[in-house]
Amino acid sequence: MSALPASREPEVTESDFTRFRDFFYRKTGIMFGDNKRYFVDKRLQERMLAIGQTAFRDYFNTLRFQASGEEFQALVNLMTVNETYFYREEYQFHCLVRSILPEIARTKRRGEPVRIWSVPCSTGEEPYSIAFQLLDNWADVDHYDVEIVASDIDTHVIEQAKRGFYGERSVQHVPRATLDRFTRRVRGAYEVIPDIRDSIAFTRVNLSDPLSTRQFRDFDVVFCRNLLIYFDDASRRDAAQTIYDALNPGGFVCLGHSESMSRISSLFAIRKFAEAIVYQKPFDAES
Amino acid sequence: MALVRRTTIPIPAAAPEDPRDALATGSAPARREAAHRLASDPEAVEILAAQLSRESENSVREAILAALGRLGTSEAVEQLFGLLGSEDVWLRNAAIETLQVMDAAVLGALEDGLDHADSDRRIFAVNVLVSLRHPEAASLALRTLGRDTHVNVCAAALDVLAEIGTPEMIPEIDAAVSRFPDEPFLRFAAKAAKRRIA
Repeated sequence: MSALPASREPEVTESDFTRFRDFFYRKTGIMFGDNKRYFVDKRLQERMLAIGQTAFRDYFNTLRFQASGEEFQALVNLMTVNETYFYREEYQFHCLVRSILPEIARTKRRGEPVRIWSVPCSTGEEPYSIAFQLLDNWADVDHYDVEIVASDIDTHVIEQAKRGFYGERSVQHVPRATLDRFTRRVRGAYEVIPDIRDSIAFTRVNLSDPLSTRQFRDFDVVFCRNLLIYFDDASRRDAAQTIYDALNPGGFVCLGHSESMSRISSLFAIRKFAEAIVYQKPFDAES
Repeated sequence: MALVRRTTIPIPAAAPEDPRDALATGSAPARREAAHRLASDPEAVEILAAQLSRESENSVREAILAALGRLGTSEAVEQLFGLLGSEDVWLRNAAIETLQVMDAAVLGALEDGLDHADSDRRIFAVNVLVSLRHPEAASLALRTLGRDTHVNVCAAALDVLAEIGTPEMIPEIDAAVSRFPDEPFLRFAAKAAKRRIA
């Protein structure tokens, strides 16, 4: 298909960009700087053409007033599209092993497991990254039993995660020694070794349905990264409550770099560690 | 290897028999769950509101507010608007945030709120407008700007119009602001709003 002539691209003026930027920030917490103007304009124009609206004003009204919120969601998906891969936002894993787990460990009785929930786990890169990081970098890993539960709403990705096969691109940020230790090469791909695959419990969950998540309890850390951004406001709050219920008092939740629990719920305290900012369920909360 | 897998995911404990009882007398987790369950019962507005008025645990209050928002009935909206007069800042702000995502369901009550005798209550009502997913939101902000006599209410309405107003509204914005010749701040806010929406 040939490109649309430039003259037919919907116009997005500087004033349109500013209005959209403020609106998008308020709805999602994602702020686009002036240096992102081209990125934002291109995606706005793509969606305007996709639904046949050539005036920004009309499109902005659709974003704001469409009862289903469908177009807003389509735009969010386009603005935030990211591929998942091992060790994504690695600073949070550093925070886990250097700051969070040592703090959690101090509260554990002998024999009591440390429980970590990765949700959404997608095709498994995150829970396996957590496992690799713990085994490589947490000094006390041999002193505690660690249970990792990985959940997603999509059963297809869960099946892929259980198989544990990944291409070169997906594991490019994992140190060679770690790959040698925890994966084996199979037909040009990397297969996570059975010991690790079998140590993770993969389950389906709908995070925005608090009543369906009652079996997810007693976690010390929840990784919930780059999911809430895709929810509407009400579902985001439901998800925050689900995470709150899932955590032990004093437990931590790690969100994606563009997400802020403070914008969703006041139930969590902000914890600023050297490596990352995370959120914590108060110790005095009733579990 | 210290990673262990819990061989079975525990089966959920049985739900409390009656969420109305649990809401009043259960532990905080039980009260939260009761609120979640009552979010699908339109008859539960009164009991949710009653618990909210005496509830001290914020996690339960959030669950109750979410339930009222999910219910979205006129009775639920009425209860939420009543909270705009609360002295409890947390509760007031949480009510505003809940109303903001209820969209069309709040319109009727919102118009009443914009006419409330207390200017603070009118400002809180204006604050609901900015996130309301309804085409009437800008018109209501403009109407407020045009007839409210309190400068702070008008300033709040201008903030809303800066974001959701349209160019056709500019003459009415000018006319409304001219009612306050001794308020340079309002003229400045109007100028900024017009620049945004022109």
